[in-house]
Formats: sequence, structure tokens, C-alpha cells
Amino acid sequence: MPATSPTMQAAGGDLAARRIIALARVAIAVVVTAFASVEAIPLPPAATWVAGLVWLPLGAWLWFAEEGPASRARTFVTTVGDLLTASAAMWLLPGQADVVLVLCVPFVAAVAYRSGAVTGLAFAAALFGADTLLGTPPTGSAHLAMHIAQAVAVTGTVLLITRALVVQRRDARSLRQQVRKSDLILAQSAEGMVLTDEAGRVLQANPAAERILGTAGRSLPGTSCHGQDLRTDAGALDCRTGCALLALCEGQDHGVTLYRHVGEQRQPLLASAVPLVDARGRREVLHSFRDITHLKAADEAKTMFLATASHELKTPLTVIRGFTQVLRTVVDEERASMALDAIETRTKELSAIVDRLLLSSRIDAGRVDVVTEPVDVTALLTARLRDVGSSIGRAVEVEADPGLVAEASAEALCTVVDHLVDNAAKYSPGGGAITVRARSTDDHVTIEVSDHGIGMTPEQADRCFDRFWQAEGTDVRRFGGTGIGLYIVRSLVTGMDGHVDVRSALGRGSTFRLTLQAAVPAPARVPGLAHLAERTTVDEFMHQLGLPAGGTS
Amino acid sequence: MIPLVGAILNLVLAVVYVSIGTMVGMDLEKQIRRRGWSHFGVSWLTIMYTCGVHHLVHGVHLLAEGRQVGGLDVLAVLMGLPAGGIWAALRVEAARGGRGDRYIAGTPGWLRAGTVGMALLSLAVAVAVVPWLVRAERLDTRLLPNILMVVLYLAVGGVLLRGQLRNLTDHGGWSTSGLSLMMIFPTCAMMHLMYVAYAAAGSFAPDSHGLWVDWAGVPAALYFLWVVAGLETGTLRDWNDRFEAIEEQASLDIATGLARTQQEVGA
Repeated sequence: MPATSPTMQAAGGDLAARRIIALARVAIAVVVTAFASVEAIPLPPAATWVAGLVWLPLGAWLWFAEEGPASRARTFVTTVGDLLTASAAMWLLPGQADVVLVLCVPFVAAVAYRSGAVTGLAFAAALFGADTLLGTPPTGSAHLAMHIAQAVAVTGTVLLITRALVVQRRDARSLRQQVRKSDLILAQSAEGMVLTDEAGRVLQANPAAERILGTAGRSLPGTSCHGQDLRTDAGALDCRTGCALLALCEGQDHGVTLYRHVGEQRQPLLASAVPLVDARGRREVLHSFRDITHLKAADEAKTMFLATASHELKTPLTVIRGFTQVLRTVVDEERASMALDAIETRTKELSAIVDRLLLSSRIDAGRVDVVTEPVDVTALLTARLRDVGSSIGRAVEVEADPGLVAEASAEALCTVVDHLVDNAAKYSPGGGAITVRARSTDDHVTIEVSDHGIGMTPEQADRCFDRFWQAEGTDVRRFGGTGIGLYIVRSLVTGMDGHVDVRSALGRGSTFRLTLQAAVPAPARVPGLAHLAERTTVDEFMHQLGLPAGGTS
Repeated sequence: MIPLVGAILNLVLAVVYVSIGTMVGMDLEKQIRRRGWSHFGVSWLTIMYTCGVHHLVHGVHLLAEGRQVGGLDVLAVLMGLPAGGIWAALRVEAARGGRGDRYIAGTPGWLRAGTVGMALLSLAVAVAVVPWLVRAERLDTRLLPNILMVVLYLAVGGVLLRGQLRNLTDHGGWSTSGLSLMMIFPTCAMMHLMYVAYAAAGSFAPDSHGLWVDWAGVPAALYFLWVVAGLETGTLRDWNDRFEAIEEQASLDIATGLARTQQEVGA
């Protein structure tokens, strides 16, 4: 289903006026026709048929049409149509011509609001003319009262017009200020912004974009984006059949990394694109680019340092652990044995941290290839978690449906489950059982690891998979750790084409859920509708009817 | 016999439509605090209630007040029954925790044949109704709302068909529930056409209760058409989310106030 694009619409006041008058036109047509059809209004049957089959459909069409961009021709048609309709009603009901005139006052106001005071006054004058020509001459006090009402209505109309003009002028001034502010923001932004049309022609670019993408002596506007040599790791972007960057950014919140060759150098850019629809319904694409050369270089240096430091730490740790085990065989004295036990335990913990850092560095460097194959998840969890309770000092309950087979890497899945169980034990200091559930859901296998520990706030849960991130600075001392366990989990699960998320409540514990593709195909189902279980009936009907829900909840 | 069958079918439709409307109303009530109003939900609810009451009134007239209609009226209702029956069964399945939908990969032969068959049947019924309209002694202005609804329901069907075709393009197949939902509107148009034909031919006279129900149905159908057309073209955004926006603004105000207080304390 296509996403609803932001639409550049006409000024709000004008659009609102057009909507209101169009809706009022339809409402009046429905009421008049309905009453005429039961002869509550003494309209001839032919007039009732005309009202129902011409006036009402025409009004409805105009109502729908007014939702779109403003059109000069339609403005003319609606004004003339209203005038003809009102004149016809006055001709059919000369005794009620004054009533028709009063009913038309909202139209006068809207015409003036939409098309200006001169058109509005002309329209009002034409209606008065029709009333004078087609209506009955004023007789008696009732008719006089009606004329007074007309005078009041017209005065109100004029006041409304004045108000409308004031509002329009204020809106225009506000708009100018907004435009000036937007221009300033664009000019000062360090982020390159480029607006292109559907064919990829650059319509507008800010100075930062000129700096990042421009070529010497040639401005970006007017050029084609096909001339930009932008690449992903997979190859050059191909924009011949539409904006490739837009397709890449679909479903991405943080943009994508692109590369551009500048001489011998490879320039990394963080890029994103969003579709826009202008007031005439033309599609445009807004691209943004940020030069992340320095960030990339710093990140690569950090990864290299971590890899080197971890590797350098690994070798002495292995030696320390080996000699500790040797010494334990020859030392009998009790205090010395205790010291050796402590050294071995701490060395083991340190080795685990170093292993994590190494794995994290390898993931960052793209040196971890996760090869998936059908894996018996039930057997793996049962075997892996059978004795883990005694090693972490916590009861671990495993509830797995029999015969679950997922597309996964057994080694990666073991690492993921180990990390999640360790994490659950670490962040539930008060004890309490850890539950691991595995079940089949349609064409997926889900594994949930739940604890009853300290839990997280929604903001913490959003960031918990980030590298080196931990819930609170003070917790670093309380719970230890490096903050890369969940980063490794997410990387490995993503490498298995799976998904991991977390539900958590502060003080009540957390549940991490892995979703992996089932290895045995499940029965066919409607693509894209898998998430409907959490939707309302209204959303579900809209989805089934192919209508965009548009809600942001 | 025909009026009795017609009465029972109309009463069943009345119960189904009002039930669906109630279900949608309950969902709207649950969501309004957080997400505001849904145009689609409200318009769907009004359509279901006005249609439901129309069938209730028609069914009661057939059952208890001696209204006479011909076989075409029953046939029109029967044409809507497969779509309505499939859709209702899927809703029951969804209510019991099931999928509530079936995916049809591609466009299989039976679906093509069914579509062609339905189109031919509709054409035959439309042709069969012509003599009744020709026989019309006096076109009563009270039939206007039914004529309008024939057009409006066909227009709604047309818009929803575009949605189904887009689903086909996006997913390479059809949603059974979506298809049956879409089919409800053209068959409703057919039912109102039969109503007009028999009333125009003098089989029965339009009554005042039915008239007001049908006139209420016209703005409901117009509103629904406006909503589906607006959603399809992207000019309308469903679920106005006003309350969330207010809460966000309140949070922002609180945060701004806190920051200002901290600045003042710091100074």
C-alpha cells in the first residue's frame, strides 16, 4: 500500500471556506429535495426531480472537487451554478424568493471569501436583481421584516468579507515570514537538501548540497541526478525507473549510507529521501545528504582499536588461565587454592568480555557471515538450557512447542539465546525465574525470553539494542557489562533474516522476542496483513478494501 | 411465497448490517480517547445502520403488511448473499481468534468465471427490470432517495474496486474479505433498483417511514463515498489523532516550563 505523501496545499483559509460552502450546498440540496419529495414544500414534481437528479449530484460533485487543488474554471462554474439554481428556485416559487435569497447568503459570503470582494458583491447584486425581477413586490409587515432580514444578512456578508480580507492579509504576512525563516534554515543547514522532480531533474538545492555534491563551476539546479555517481555497498544507484534512494529509504528512519568517488577518495554520505506532492499533484522527491567522512573514519579507528586491543588481551588471558589450571594441580594449601579459584573465575569473565568485543568488532567490520539452514529450535533450546540454571544460579523454565524448525544458524542462535538469558539473569537481581518460550506463529518461529527484573522505560527499550548503550550510568557499577550484548543479539538475528524486539515495564521485567522464518512453509496468507491482529476492525476493513489508513497511531 | 422469502432475507440482512455497525461503533468508542474520530469508521457505521434499518422496514412491510414484490427483488438479495455470507463467516472466524481472511494468489479461473457470471447475471437482471420501469404509471418523487442510492452505491463500488486492484498490484493476489466487502455495494445498488422498479410499476406504494430512512441513507452514502474517495486520493487523513497531539503539546509545554525553571534557578 502506498504511503500517504505530505501534500502542499493551498492556503488553509481558502481551502476551509471552499470545503464549508461545498458541504453547505449539498446539505441544503438534500434537505430541500427530501422535503419536496414528500410535498412538505409545495414544489412541482418536475422541480423535485430536477433538484434530486441535477442539483444534488452537481453539488456532490463540486463538494468532492473542492477537496482538491483550487481551479479558476471550477470557481466560475460554481458561482454561475449557484446563481442559476437560486434564480430557478425564485422563478418556481416567486412567493418564496426572499427566503431563497436569505438561504443564499452563505454562498455570497463564500464567493467573496474565495474570489474576492468584487466578485462577492457582484454575486450579491445579481441575486438581488433576480429577487426583484422574479419575486413578488413587498406587501405587508411580514414582507418588510424579510427585507430587513436581507439587509442584516448583506451587512453581515460585507463584514465577513472585510474579516476575510484581514485574515488573508495576516495569513500572507505569516506565510512570508515562514518562507523567510525556512530559507534561512535551508541556507545555514549543514545538511545538503536537494529537491528533484519525478524524472530526477534537480529543482532546488541548498548551499550545503552544493558543497557536498556540486561540481566545480556548475550549480546543481537544472542538472540531472543521474549524473551523481552515488553507490551503496551493492553497487551504483539506478534511478532510471524511479528514485532509487526513495526506494532504499522506505521503512528506514535513519537514512542509508551511500558512497561517492571524489578523485581517489571514497566519500561516505548519510542520505535519505521523502516523496512530496505539490499543489498541482506533481510528485517531487526531497533528498538530504550529510557528509560523514569524519564520522566513518573515527568509527573505523575505534573498531580497529577495539579489535587490536581485544586481540592483544586475549593472548595473555589464555596464558594466565592455562597456568592457573596448571598451578591448581600442584598447590594444596587452602588459601592459595582459593586465590587460584578467584583468578580463574575472573579470567573467565574477562575472556567472555573480550570475546564479546571481538565479535562486535568482527560484526562491524562485516566479517561475520551468518549462513542459515533449517535448525531444530526445540532441540537446540532444550539442550542448551538444560543445565544453564545451575551455572547462573537461577531457575530457567523452557516451554517449547515440539518440532519447531527455523531458518537460522545454530551457532548464532546459541550465542543469541546465551546473551539473552545472561542479560535476564543480570538485570533481575532479586531472583525470580527466567522463562524461555518458543512457539510457531503462522510462517514464523518466535522465541521469547522473559524475566521479572528491573525492566526498562519505553525510551530505554527503544535504545537498548544500540552499541555500548546501557540503561543508566549508575547501573554500570551495579550490574557491570559492556553494553554490547544486545547489539550482538540484534546483529546476529538480523543476519538470520529475523527480527528482535522487546516489551518491558519498569520494575516488572522484560520480554525479548526473536522472530525467525519457519523452515517449513506455512499455509498461504494475505501478505502485509500479518500485523492486523493488533488493529481495530476499522483499520482492518480499510486495509482489506485497499484504502490507506493514514493514522499515525 | 416470494414476499415471505424476501421478508426473511431482508430481516437477516438487517440484523447482519446492524451487527456490523455495532461492532464498528464499539471499536470507535474504544479508540476515541487516544486516536480521535475515524471518518471511515463513522461513515461505515452510518451506512450499516441506515442500510440495516432500510432492510428492516422493507422486511416488516413484506412480512406483516402485505407488500407485494416480484422474484427480481428476491433475486437481487440472493445475488448479495454469497458475498455477504462469505464476509460474515470470515468475521465470525476472526471473532473466534482466527485469521478472518484468505489470500487468493493471482486470479484463478474460478474467480474469473465467477466475475463474468456475476456480470452477466447483473446485466440480465438490469434488462429484466426494464419492462417494469416501462410499465411505471407514475414516477413517485418519494423514490428519489432510492434512485440516488443506486448511483451512489455503484460509485462506492467503483472506488473500492480500484482499491482491490491496487491490492492485486501490491500483493499479487486478492483478499477474500476485501473482495466480498467490495461486492456488497453493487448488490445493494441492485436491491434499490428493484425497489424502485416494483414501486414505480405500482406493486406497492412507498411509505413514510421507509422514505425518511432512505433519505437519511443518502447523506450517509454521500459521506461514505467522500471518505473512500478522499482516502484513495490522499486528500483525507483518517483517525484525526487530536488527543495525541494535545498530549504531545502538553508534554512539550511541561518540558519547556521545566527547562525555564531550571534556568531561573541556575541564574
